[in-house]
Amino acid sequence: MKTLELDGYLAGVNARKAKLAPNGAVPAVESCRNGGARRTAEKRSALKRADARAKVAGMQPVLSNY
Amino acid sequence: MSLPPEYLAALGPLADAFSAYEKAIGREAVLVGGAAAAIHTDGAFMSADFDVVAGDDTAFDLAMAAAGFVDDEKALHGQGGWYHPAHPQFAVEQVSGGYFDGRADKARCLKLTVRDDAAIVLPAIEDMIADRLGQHEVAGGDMSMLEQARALYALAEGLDLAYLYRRIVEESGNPAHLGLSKGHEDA
Repeated sequence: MKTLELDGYLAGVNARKAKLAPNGAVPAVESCRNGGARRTAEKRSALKRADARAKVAGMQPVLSNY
Repeated sequence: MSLPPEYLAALGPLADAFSAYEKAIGREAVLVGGAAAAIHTDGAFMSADFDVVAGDDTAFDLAMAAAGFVDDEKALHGQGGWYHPAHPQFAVEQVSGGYFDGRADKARCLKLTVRDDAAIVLPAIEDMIADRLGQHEVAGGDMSMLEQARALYALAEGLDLAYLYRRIVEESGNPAHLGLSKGHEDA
């Protein structure tokens, strides 16, 4: 199994993303976000609880469709 | 768009748990699903959930507790569910079944060191692409899985196209969505 540093790996991905962006080769963020229609009831509940916890803690919830 | 600092910070305790689990039983837990796709694309999208495949429920539960995670109403859904009090906006869930039902080559996984000796493990990007394309075939009108596959494919480096083609077919995906044809089977 190959082992890399997370920061270095992300930097490489980001560099490729920057290179490809002008050509529109990387889909937009929103088009990649799970629409949520096929999520299980359990997953919807887990995401809903995470959303609620974030709000209670005064943190920005992560945008998820549930 | 890159992964935000709060997302990267949440990976710290998760990596602690993964490493504790590996030390305990000698096998790696693997981060799968949307979180793995988000990391492989450095935030082409992200969600609030981390799905994990870990074969030993008890050992993984102990590793999560040791890393500071607390239970998240796991009794309601059978499999383990946790969150970290310092990162409450994220949920971690242990998913059922084996690693891609035994079809993927786990040796191709990528271990990413997050801090000190703590690392997370992701599926090979080929397996992620295949998984997303397989899910797209049953996704109805939701195009997000196809878009994730396209993002992963566009950003990947050094893909093993023969392995990718085989895995897409195994996951009941359509290689043509990426412009791959049967010739890539023997690439």
